[in-house]
Amino acid sequence: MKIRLYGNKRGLSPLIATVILIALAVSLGAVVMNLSAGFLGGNKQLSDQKECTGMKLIFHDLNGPQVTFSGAGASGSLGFVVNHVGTEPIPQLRLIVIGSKDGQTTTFVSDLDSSITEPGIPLSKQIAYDYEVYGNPNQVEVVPLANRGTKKLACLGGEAKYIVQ
Amino acid sequence: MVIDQTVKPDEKKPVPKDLELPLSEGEEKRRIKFLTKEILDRIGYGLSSQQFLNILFVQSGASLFLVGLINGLKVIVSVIVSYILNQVQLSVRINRILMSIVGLFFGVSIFTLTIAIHKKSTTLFIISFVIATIIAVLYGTLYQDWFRENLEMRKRGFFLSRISYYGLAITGFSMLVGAALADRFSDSNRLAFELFGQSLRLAGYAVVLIIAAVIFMVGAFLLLMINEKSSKKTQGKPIVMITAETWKEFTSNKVLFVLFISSAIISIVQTLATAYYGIFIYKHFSDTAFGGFMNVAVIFIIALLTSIIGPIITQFNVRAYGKFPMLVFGTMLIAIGPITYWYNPNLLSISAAMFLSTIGSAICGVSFGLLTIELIREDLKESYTQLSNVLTLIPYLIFIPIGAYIAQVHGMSILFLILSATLVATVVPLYMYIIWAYNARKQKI
Repeated sequence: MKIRLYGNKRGLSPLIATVILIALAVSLGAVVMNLSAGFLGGNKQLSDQKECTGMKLIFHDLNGPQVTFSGAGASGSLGFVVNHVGTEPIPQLRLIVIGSKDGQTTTFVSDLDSSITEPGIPLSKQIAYDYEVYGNPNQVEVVPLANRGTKKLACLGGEAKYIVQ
Repeated sequence: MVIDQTVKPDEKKPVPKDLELPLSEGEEKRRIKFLTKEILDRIGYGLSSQQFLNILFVQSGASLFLVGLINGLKVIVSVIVSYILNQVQLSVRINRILMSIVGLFFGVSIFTLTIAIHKKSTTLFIISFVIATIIAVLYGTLYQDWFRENLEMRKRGFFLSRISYYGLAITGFSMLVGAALADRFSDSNRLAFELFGQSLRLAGYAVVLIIAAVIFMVGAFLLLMINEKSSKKTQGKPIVMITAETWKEFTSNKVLFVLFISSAIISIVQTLATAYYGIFIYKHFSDTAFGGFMNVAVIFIIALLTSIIGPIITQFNVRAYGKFPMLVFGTMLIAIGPITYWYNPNLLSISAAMFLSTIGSAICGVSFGLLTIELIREDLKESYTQLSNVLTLIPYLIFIPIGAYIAQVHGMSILFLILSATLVATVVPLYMYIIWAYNARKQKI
């Protein structure tokens, strides 16, 4: 016996078929457009944010990464030189220092003023760092900040990272 | 790619094993030579992929405007050359000699492209690119005709009769190898080697393009070694002229006219989008996933392989839903590609979007083909194809520079948004109009 796959010989009216197919295309589009690249691992999916594209920092290398610590106590400071190796200008930088004080982990975060970074141009900064409050630094990160409307977006994945030996 | 490699929906189906004809020893040798040439060509296409060339063109100092223009120019030149070829009849013997020479020149033009990129000379690049495009169309058309004449379908064997499918896999694989080499030996980490006592340092992309050039030249040389079938001279294809009758049919049939406009818009959108996809991926994901050229290769291999299943999906669904609704669906799927690049550019979403976009292209291609059969008289079909190809050049000349200008001034993301919006806002309503007009015409008949 022959089994007919499409029972109705007349089929769908073109208009209904069009509406069904448009709905299908729109839903497929919605799914695809909202897929994220989380499977790619690490923080990399965050650097895929549209606003973060082309933003990539590295510490300038001159006999090792250019991150320096000076002073002591409350009058301490931290200096660094970063290179922007991406393609788009970075509106602002955020400095994150993970330290340790009396066995406790401390976090120093500062959004740096006048830190617009152009591709290919190194940026040098000297920032006040209170050793009495934040202790000895263990890790220094400089993260690009992008703008999304009025909000700031941290472009993780494009940051320069230095682990203190 | 310099020559676009896709599976054509109207391509002849391979012959089943039991219908294949037995081959003599000489014929078997010829078949092996043909097969070797085909494989070499496919490897060459993969290594000299259009996407790689676009990226390298930008790296050699070209603006995005220029990239858009050159991609549009490629299409225009291809249409003009195939039109001229159609008007000129060449005997088979001339074809063969000409093909080998043309093939050698094709290799040379790829080589000069490499020099242009290496020397960062945009002028040399443009000249080489246009020459390569002209030669590619000449070479492709002449070779296909000659191949058909000299090795009939029933003597091609399993692999050669399915070369349009296996060829995609070969092209894809060579694209991967090319991308790996280009990434491994970047400009700052050139490949150092000694040749004839001289130490050379070449970037990976230069090595890849030189290999492609050599492969094309070897392929062309191989043609000279293939004996022709017999002394019998077969005539080439008949000349196809654009007649007044075709023009009358074209202007009097509203459905046909609207179909032409929508297909021209789709074609322009695809040309512009494809011109910038590779550059966008390379620029935005050089530190992500596989990195640099490899990301581009992987995403375009997805598109390449999808082009195999696209026509199969279409043929099933056209029967169930009808041709016009499928055209609307196909257009919407094509629009998903550029809009994803604008809205959520990450490798996963872009890969999925490219998959859908390629299926959309196949749906539109197959539906257009079926509609042309339905709407045009058999004797006017070829002439109509010529006419629509030539007429498409007018919107190309206007809109490709505009699109390229948008990419240059407002960026690729905005261009992608505009391309998607154009498809949804102009082509979809046009199809809705066709559905209405076609039904009205049918009822009238």
